[in-house]
Amino acid sequence: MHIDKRLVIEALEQVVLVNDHPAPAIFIQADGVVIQGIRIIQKQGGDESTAVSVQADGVMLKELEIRTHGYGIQLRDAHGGALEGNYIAWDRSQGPSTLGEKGNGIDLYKSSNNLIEQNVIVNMRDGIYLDNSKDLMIADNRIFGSRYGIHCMYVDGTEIVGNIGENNITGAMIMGVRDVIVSSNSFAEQRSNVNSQGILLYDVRDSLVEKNVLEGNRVGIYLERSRQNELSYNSISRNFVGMQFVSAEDNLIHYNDFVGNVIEAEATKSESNQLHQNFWDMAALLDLNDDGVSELSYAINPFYRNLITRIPAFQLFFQSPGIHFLSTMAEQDRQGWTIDPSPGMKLNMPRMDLDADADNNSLPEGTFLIIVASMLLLVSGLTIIYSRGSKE
Amino acid sequence: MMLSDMLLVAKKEIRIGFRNPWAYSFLILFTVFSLSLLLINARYEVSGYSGVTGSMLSLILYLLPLMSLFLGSFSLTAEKEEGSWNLLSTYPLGTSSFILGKYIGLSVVLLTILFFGYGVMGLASGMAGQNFEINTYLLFLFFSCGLVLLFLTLALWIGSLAKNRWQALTVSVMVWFFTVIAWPTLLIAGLGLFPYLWIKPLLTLFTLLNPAEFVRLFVVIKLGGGSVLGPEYYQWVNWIQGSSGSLLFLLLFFFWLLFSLTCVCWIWERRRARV
Amino acid sequence: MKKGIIAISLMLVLIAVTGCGKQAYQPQAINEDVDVCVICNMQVKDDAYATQIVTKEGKSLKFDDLGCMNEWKAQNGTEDIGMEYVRDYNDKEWIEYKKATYVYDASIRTPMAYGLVSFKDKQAAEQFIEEQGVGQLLSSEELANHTWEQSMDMMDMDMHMHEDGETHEEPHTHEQSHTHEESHAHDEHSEDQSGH
Repeated sequence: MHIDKRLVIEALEQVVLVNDHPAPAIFIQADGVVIQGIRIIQKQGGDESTAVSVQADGVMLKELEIRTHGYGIQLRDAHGGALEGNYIAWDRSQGPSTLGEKGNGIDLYKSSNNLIEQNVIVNMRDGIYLDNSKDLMIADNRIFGSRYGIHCMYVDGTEIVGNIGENNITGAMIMGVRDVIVSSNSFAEQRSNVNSQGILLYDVRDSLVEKNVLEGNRVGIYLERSRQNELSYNSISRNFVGMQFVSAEDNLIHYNDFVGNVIEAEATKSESNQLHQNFWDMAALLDLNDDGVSELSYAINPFYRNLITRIPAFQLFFQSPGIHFLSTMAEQDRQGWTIDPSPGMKLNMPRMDLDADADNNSLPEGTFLIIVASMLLLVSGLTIIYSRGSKE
Repeated sequence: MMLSDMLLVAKKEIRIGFRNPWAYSFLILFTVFSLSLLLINARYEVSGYSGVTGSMLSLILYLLPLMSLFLGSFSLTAEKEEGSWNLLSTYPLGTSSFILGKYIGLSVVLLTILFFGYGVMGLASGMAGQNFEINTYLLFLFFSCGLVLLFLTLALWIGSLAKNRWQALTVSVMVWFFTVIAWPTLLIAGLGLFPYLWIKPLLTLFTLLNPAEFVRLFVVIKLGGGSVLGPEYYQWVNWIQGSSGSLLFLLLFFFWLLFSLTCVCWIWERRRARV
Repeated sequence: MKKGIIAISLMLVLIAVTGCGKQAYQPQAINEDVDVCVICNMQVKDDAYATQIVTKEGKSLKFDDLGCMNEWKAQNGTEDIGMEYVRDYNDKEWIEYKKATYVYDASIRTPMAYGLVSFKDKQAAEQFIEEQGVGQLLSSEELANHTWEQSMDMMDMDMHMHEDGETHEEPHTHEQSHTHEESHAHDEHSEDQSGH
């Protein structure tokens, strides 16, 4: 379908558009087109083949349901449009496919002032890919099982708010951007790949990363070669590594919560960042004057990170008791370490109650645990009593 | 080898084991430590590889090998010191029956301590309504047992070679320090002398020789933390995460057991011949 | 029994030695599951833009864009490099960096937008330029004087990146200020030479 007139297409009943050609199912070249509620199946993939292609301004795509073997929605030189409530999934009916074959869910190139809201994207390459665009609003999208949930390349002045990413390789890959706000997103369970992160920031400047929840990722926040950013009120919990700094300078990192991570933070070549009042649950804390701030500073030990940067094979020693021992021996020489001089005494962000949603399914599991535990206790008790009682 | 002889030795070992105050001090130590670990992390869910399970793993690696080494090696040196081996060797008792009986008896004592500790821990967290995933719990129990049984074979080595209790104590601490604490230090220093491309295969080989290290890695991988070991090992990790990984662990476990026990038997056989 | 262990490890060492002896800085295949660019951390796709450095000690460093490899050299120098590889645009075969022919144009889309592609022979490169209608032919020596700009049309805020007194008047400077100080100076210099 090639649309080059101003049109409003609204599906009242279920309309299914099946496309067997590599050309897009819907190709929009007229400004102000509105399309709503259509199901699209794009059967052909390869190169840049896409279900919907937009090359016009002010286009609105609403509640489309797209299954594709290529890209989902492509915007090229398309400004001031809106993509709302669409569902985009990789078409699995043609057998399994590798990451390399897949296309991006929503793909913007040289397309500014667009609103991308409440879309759900599943099993694509990059969920939302933003390239050479600016002043975008990316809000309340949900991305699962893709390579990078939200991927920014050379983006300026954009807001990424309230998105959810789970089980992707990386939740948000923010690269080469300026003046971006990443706020109130939740990225969880990005940990199956050896390069997984919750949020990766590379070459980012003058941006704000706040109030995000990063839980159960391989690395919560990865910050590399970025300057003058502010990271605050993020809740970073249960990741293998909470936060990782690499050659990041002059960033302000304050009021974040680091809870239950295997390693709270790692830092290399990142001396001039300012850390204040973050809550580190493994830190030794001491508050003599009752101001809510610990007088003992918290230092990030770079020993292990430096070791494996040189020889990656030693990653086998991650969190080995011996490495802990070896790291503490280097504790005397804190020069050049990244240090939080004033760790907070308590959580900066109210913790969302994890048990609230877990309770309903954990109850039978809890009883099962009690049964197993009592049996173990019984067996051991009986063994002790029996062997002490028996005399020869 | 007579089965009845072996069971007799094992029974005697169990009886002596539970009269030994050392066993109870370890039982209390392990229970108290695991309980306090749970208390500290009472707010958090215990599942997957996280800060809580990471520190639990460290506790297990510190405490259990030491416990196995002490109890196991002392039991064998006691036989020598108290002269009961000299007496036994005059009976028609096979050396292998004796060693296996000792091993089984000591295993029962050690596993009882483990079960008690895990029982109390599981009950406490179950009662407190903490979210302790059952799979994680069983995984820890399973691998703790493996760790204890493997270090017990090392303990028999020490007990066989040491002349008396003091020597056994010193050697036990040395072995514990070497395998648990100093392991990375020694390997990093040693492997640094080799060309870059040799480091990974050598490190893998040495890891298989240290039960503390391979048990730790199995737990980390089975908890889903394998990606933290980096791209170098990702094929291994994928493989171990599946059921073939459990099979490999069992294979490694039995190989270790068989190898060590055969050696220990051989040492005692030789000594017996000299008597 | 200890002898057995020693024998096994010796054998393994021997295998390792013979294994190493054969390969003189052979390029490794790209594994999309685990390989990420050493510089920019992006997944390295098994495509024509991938490049690779094999260091003298045999470590393989992979990059998703020729520009990232250049960035690595600017940071770490070239002493440790055993061999550098790029890929032929058409058949993705690994070719030595020095033997390849390159085509640059800002409009060519590459993973990190450096706009450079590589070819194993000159004809193929010329044919590519013919097909595309744009492009500048470069040899590896000429690449040494390349400006390594990333094409970022939308980033008009680039000007304020140079606020540290280095503001460029030319409208086409899109260099990123994170570039290493050395290479930065070098870039400016070479820019004058090549006279864009």
